[in-house]
Amino acid sequence: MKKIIIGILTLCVMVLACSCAEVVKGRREIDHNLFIQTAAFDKGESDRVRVTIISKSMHSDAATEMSEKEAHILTHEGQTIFEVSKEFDGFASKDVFWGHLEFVIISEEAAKEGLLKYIDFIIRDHELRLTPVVIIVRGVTGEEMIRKINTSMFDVSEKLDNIFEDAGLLSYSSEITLADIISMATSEYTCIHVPTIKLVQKTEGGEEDKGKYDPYLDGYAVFKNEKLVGYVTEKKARGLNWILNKIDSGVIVVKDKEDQEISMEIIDSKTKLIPQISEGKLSITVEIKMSSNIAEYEGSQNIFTESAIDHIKQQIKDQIEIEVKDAVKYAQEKGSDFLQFGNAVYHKYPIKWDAYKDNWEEEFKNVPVKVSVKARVNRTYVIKDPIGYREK
Amino acid sequence: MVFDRFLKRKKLPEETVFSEPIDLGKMQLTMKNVKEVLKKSDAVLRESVIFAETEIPFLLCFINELTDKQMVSEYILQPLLDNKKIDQMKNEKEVVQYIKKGGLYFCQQTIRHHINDAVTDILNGYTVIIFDKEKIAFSFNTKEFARRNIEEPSENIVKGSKDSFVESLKDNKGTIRRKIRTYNLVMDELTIGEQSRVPVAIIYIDGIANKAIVEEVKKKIGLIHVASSVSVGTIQEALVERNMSIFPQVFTTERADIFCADIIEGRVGVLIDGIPVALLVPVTIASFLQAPEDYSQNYVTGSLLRFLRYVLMLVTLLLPGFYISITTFHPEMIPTELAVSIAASKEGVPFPIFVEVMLMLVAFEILIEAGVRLPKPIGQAVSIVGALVVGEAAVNAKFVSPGVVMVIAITAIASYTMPSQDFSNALRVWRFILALLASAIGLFGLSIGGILFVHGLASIESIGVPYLAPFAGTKKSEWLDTMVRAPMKYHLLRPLFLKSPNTKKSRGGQR
Repeated sequence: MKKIIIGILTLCVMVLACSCAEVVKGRREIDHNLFIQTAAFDKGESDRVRVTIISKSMHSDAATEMSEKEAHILTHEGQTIFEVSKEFDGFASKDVFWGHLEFVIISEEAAKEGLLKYIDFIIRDHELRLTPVVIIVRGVTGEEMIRKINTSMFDVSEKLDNIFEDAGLLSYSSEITLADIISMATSEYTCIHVPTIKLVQKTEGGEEDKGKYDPYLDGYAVFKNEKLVGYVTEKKARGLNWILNKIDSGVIVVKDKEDQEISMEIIDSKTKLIPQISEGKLSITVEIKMSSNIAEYEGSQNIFTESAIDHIKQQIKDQIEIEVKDAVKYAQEKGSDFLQFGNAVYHKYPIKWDAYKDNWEEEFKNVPVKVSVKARVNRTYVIKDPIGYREK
Repeated sequence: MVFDRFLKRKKLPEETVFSEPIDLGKMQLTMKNVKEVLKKSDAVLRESVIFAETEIPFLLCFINELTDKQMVSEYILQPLLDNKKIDQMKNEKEVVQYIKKGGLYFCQQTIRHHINDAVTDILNGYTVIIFDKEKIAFSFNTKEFARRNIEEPSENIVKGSKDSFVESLKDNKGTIRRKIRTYNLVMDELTIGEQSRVPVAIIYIDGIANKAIVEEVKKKIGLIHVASSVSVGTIQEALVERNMSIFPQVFTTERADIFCADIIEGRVGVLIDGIPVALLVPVTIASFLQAPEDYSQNYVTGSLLRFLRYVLMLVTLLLPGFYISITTFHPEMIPTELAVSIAASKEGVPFPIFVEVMLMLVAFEILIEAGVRLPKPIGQAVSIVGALVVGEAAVNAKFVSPGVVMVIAITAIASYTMPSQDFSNALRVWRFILALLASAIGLFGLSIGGILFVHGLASIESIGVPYLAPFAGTKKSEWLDTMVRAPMKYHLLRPLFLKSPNTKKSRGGQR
């Protein structure tokens, strides 16, 4: 009986206490939270950081029973990101809640200085997860980007969400989360690459959205020793994706024998990086197996013949080889092993790697890279011959 | 004084003169004594004489309301008074011998030598004739009283028998006999209650039910001493080993088919005269999550529905607590869009979510209670008003947020899917405890609550059988009839935890 009474009393104290002042840490009503989905880190004045956060919130109108979306953009400067994050609470109408962070935008300028100092807070803080996607924005600062992209219809994170979801359609870039960056940064054999966007003005919105921009995800920003050294974009970026086996889909435009264009859709691909050491010389073979479908044909020939398909295959091979070679050439020029060749070598020759380890940066620049592509053309979708085709 | 009128309250006079209690044990079976005992009751006490060679007096007693009077006059009085053989008899002894040998046209007669038995028989609706000199009584079963027909049970079922238990023990025994036609079926009768003297039948199949369980039940029921009237609760609490637990440890049903199925599995049933509900022991938690329908459906449907019931048990138990914890402690667990809209809908509601949930849970309990107590037509009105007021108006008036209303609605609907009301009531209490813990320390508290919940279940034993028995076992056969309902051809064994001497249930279907 005594135990039961003590139990009930304990429960009462627990319950009453939680309704009063902050006895229990971490307890916060949901409507007091400002859910941040996107944050931008820029270089501020004199070695300070400038943090811009955007939160989505709904405003429900009791009279019309309609709820409207609202976006709040807050900008503040401070010595460190953590300091700024605390200072936000000083003037924001609600408590800043970082747990829902999806995108971290870092400006070009800040990334040149070093990436890791900006993401340490996100990795370390317990409220945050390792799922946010880190993006380098070209041409403008993060703050400008947020303000320029955000429209009344779609806010920044919705737009970014969408372009990353569709990144596989072109395979110019891909989603790289904080966890991926951590594994790239901690590995001694590789360099970091993260997706990059630029602003383009393509969509026309309503009156109030005049002068708004769209984000265009077109490649990767590449780093050397956690400092930004350059970008690979579009086809060159696809070269990187070929090497790292990150191709989902994409378009390769080839020509038939009469110079009419054919769109080939990549539907499947698999890449193997095969390092080889023969007679003390290191070389790397990129072995790509891909298959594609004919998605569009501008001419009116029968292209479903063996010779026509061989012709197409050859062009596909050539194009992929050019894309891959371009990427390799760029990496070797910059001396940044974002293609993860070092990783492949280490895993195949863990002992011989010791000889290359210390001087890998130089070695990497001179590694000969061979590309071998096996292309397949599978089908032509709904119609086999073009409609204009007449059999003679 | 001001308080005088309170002090001068009329008091009930303390009774000082008791009427002497009658001790039946020491009395002799004579007409005078029986009359003395029954003089305050509504028994018919008719003295009469048999016109043999000498006049032989006898006393005919019965209770008017419990007896078929036509039977008494046609089958007892007539052959006794209008009988040429009796007319030639010399003395009482001869008459008694004659009746003993079956001289009266009556199929069910018993000889009584003690006044105790004779009076009990009269009170049970028998007709008793008493002979003074021989100190002997004959009781004849002439019971006839108004009773309910066997009707459809309130535990609904589509496919399956539609007979339920009724108030009369005799009818119920008949119903069971019709379903279990084995000579091994035992129906032991006991009488409990000092004043009410209610017959209680303990029913089991000899050779299938474990003897130890049967003895234990008999012992526990034999120990009952109640002054008040006998109810289901009386027996239920006598059979329970841990009185402090809120979980039902006795299975109650008014469906004869469930009862018989469990008896055949090896359980022991208890029927009480005057109560149309049967009790079954021992039980495990799985019994409370089985619906009779499970067996008459396709086994896939049956299994899915049963699995759903287990999931819904967790939903109705945990959902309020879970909602409180994720909204106040772990908002990162909610998808962003949902978090934003929950936050938006809660705007303007002044209470913390915990208070909202508690308000709604209490409101829900009030609605249930109000609906149960009121007569049917008004009960419906209450639920409509309740749904409108609580659901619609409370949200509009910003008393609660719509999210909470939805959570409580799901909780309530999930609780209605529990086949056993007793079990559902136990979950109701635990739901509050878990919500309290969750409001204090979030999911951590909810986990602690969950551990306590399982601990509570694990420490219950029902007549020596662990409450969680089917889930503790490692034998495949034990699992076949718990969370899933395997096809009938796999139901080969009786539940192992019942420790039946005859574990084989069937030889299996045709393979």
